[in-house]
Amino acid sequence: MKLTREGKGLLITGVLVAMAALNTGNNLIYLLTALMLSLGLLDVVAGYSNLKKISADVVVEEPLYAGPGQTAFYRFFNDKKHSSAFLVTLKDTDTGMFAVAPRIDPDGMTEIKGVVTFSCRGRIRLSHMKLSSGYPFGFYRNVVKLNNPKSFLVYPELIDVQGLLAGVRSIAGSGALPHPSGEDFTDIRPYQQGDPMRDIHWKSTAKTGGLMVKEFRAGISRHVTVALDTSARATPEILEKGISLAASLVEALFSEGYPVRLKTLAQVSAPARSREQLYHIMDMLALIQPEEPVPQALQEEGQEILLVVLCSRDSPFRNLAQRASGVFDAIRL
Amino acid sequence: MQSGYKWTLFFIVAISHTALFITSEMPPELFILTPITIAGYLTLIAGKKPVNRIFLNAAALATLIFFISDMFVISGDLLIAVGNLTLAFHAIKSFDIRTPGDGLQVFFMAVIQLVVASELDQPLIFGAIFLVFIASSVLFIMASYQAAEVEKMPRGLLKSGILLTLTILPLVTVIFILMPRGAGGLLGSRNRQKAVSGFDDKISIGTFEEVISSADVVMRITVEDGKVVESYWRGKVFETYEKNSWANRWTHGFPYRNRKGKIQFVRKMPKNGIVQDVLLKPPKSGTVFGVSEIVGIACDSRWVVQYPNGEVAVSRRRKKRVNYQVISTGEQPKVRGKTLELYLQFPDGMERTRKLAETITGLAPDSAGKCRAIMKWLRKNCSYSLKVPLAGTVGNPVEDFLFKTRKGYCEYYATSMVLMLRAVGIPARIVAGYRGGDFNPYGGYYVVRQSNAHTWVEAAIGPRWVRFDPTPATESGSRSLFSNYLDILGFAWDRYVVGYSVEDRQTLLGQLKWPGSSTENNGRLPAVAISLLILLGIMLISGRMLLLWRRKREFKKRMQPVSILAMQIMKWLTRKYPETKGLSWRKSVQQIQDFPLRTQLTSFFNEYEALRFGAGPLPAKEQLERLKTLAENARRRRDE
Repeated sequence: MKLTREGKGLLITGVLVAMAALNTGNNLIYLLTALMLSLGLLDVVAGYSNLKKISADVVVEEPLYAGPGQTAFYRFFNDKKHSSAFLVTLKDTDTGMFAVAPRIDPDGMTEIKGVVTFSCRGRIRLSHMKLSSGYPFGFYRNVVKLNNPKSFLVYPELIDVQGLLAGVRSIAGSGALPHPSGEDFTDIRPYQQGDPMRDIHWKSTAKTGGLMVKEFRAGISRHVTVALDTSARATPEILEKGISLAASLVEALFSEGYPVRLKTLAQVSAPARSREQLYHIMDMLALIQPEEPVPQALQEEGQEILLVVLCSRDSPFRNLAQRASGVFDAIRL
Repeated sequence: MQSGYKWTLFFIVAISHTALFITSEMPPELFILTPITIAGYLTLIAGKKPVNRIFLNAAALATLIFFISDMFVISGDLLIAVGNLTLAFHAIKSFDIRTPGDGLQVFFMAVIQLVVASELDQPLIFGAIFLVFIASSVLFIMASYQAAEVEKMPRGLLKSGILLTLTILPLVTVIFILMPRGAGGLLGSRNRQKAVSGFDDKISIGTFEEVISSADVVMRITVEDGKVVESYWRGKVFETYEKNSWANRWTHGFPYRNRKGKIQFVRKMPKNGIVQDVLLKPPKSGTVFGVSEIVGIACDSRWVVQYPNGEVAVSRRRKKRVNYQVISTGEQPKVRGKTLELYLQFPDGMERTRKLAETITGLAPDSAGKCRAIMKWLRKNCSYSLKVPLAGTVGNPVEDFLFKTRKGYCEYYATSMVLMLRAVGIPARIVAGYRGGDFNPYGGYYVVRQSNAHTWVEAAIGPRWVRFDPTPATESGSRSLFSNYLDILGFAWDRYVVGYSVEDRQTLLGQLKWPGSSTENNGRLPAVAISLLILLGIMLISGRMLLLWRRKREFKKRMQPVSILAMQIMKWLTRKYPETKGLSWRKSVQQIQDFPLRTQLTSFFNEYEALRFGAGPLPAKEQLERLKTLAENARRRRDE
């Protein structure tokens, strides 16, 4: 329970009126004192009952990226059988989530649409989310902390990398990043999990009765590997910038149709051919922490198109960078 | 803000202004501000913009200066000055309602205005004003809070407001009844209530006219068991006539310390005593009124004094309503032989009166006959009239009455009779009190008004004083049904609201008993329990506030360097990159082309936000140092 500015006004006026009543012995001033006391008392009792059996939930449209505003739905539930709840506020100080439900019907739900902005990537736990209400008079704010706080996985902030990719294409030639489109497939094979829907060969699927996908011509690998230097030597700010850049590259390349995979100093993801696989990479990027390099990660792989994001001056990926189609230095960017 | 909210605010202001106006104690000059206040609220309701703050601040400053001079020079009265101040501030504030919080300030000002009005007067109409104020307060404060939270009033909130209003009325009543109270005067308060009843310690002939002409209610008397009494409500007794005035020489009576709330002046109370419950409006002196002879009194005064002439007075700290119960025998006071000399004093230079008295009583066989003869003569030869020459314009108003005009009212009749009785050697005195009163059959009580003020004669004949009333009876009109019911309301207001006392509270609490308990409850234990509860509540609230204050102080102490650092960086940014002026830090950082600097600044502000607004503990020294380093790095980067 928190005394508001208006509550302080009531307290000061109430004390003044009470002093006047004691000093004069005037019953009408005692009556005004009783009014002030009643207002305070009723505010506490009605406020407590207003917030009783009220719960709330936040639903945010996924995927969540740091930076831009996301649409959030704040849902308020009233489990009371008979009385409505009024002017209930849901607030989380960490994320800046804020919504006011003007009225929640008995045994009902009120949904308020809002925008929420996450400032950084990672697992965001709404552990400081509180329901509060100053109903009916606003002299006090009853505050209830929500149990079982919800958590969100926020992906790194996406930045515009079209310029950087165009730069790669112009410097290293179109062969460095061959366009992924084309129907020159060489073979048809059974569907494997992760294969994009657009690669399904419907004719053979109909014939065989099982999902079949097209295998594209050999020689030009359509896989792109984004290697992110997650060295502990990188400063946190640079690392964050690198992660943001890597996420943006993965997202942009996937949108262009490339199967993209992510390689860090300690992890390698499967090539993202579908949205789910892309989100798997984004999950990695959302939670990634500085890593110690493992030998396997430093090895080159045959036909991949390699883009390297360097975050430290003496990066373990410096050898890979020498044969990469594009190198992005997060320190200089 | 919705128009309903604005109208309610206007209504609240109108109520408090009306209360102040009704008292008719405020100087009328400042009520010229009322049209300005009305104009201000009409402007607000019309949705026009508030007036520039510079003008309003200037007006507020001028008002404060006026308040100080009003308090010390113009009216010289704090209460009037505060009343004037609220009128002026209401006028100013009416042009400065920007947020619902401003409306709440107006509400608190209205409360102060009602406090001032309550100290100036307490008529029945205040009952209606308070009722309306309480009801509208709930709705207004709710609307105020709602306007601060959401733009549109949610469906059902009005209904909830009405329910809360219905709840608050009994709650206020209960708190009002149970609230501990004192007699007041803690800080040397001045009572502004006018003394409207009783008599001064000195009565000048010719001063009663003003009193008798007023229809103001002086007291309401309920006679228990519905006994029919001869309604002479005896009060002050005067024995000395000097310079056309009656005075009382009995300055020392028999004081009784009122420990139990009840005093009896006789060893054995009469079985058929007349019990009268009296609610007396603020009296001029402590004298109580009742049927003769008063032998017992129950009241909340600390001291009760009984004078040898049968007069009873209570001690009062202030001019407040007096609520008491007297028990009378219905008989006249006993004659005390030692003091009879006092009642035979006859002023010099009134030989004509002496001769007239001797002439009238010449044939009377005894003292009683002489009394009757004088009374008969007065009634036969003089006529009742309130239109008499001013006492100051005639040398001797009694002789002027007896020998010239032969017109006068009770004072003239009674004084003439007392002096004539003394002239023929009969000890006599004049008694000032009230005669009659309207019996309200619906309330079962007598309503005694100023017009019932009366003086009559007591003569020492035999063992007891005998009452003679030479004044001819005057006609009194009957009261209508409506007027009787209205008077019941007035009685209830005076008795149970304005006149509610510590004793009433204790009596009420004394009624409380646990079911099945046979323990006697004198009301003290519940009163102490309530006081302790309140004390506990005050201690809890104070403790909580102290804790919050300390926490806030600690927060400020630890947060101030963090905030100052952020402000310095923002200023530095504006200085170095003028295009970032007025922008938030996020937008400012986006304006910077130097990517490393941008990164450093982002790190700084992210850290700052986490420290300043995050839910973690207060920033430690190391965290502050880290923030300083980040700020320093950013600055250095720019300078490089």
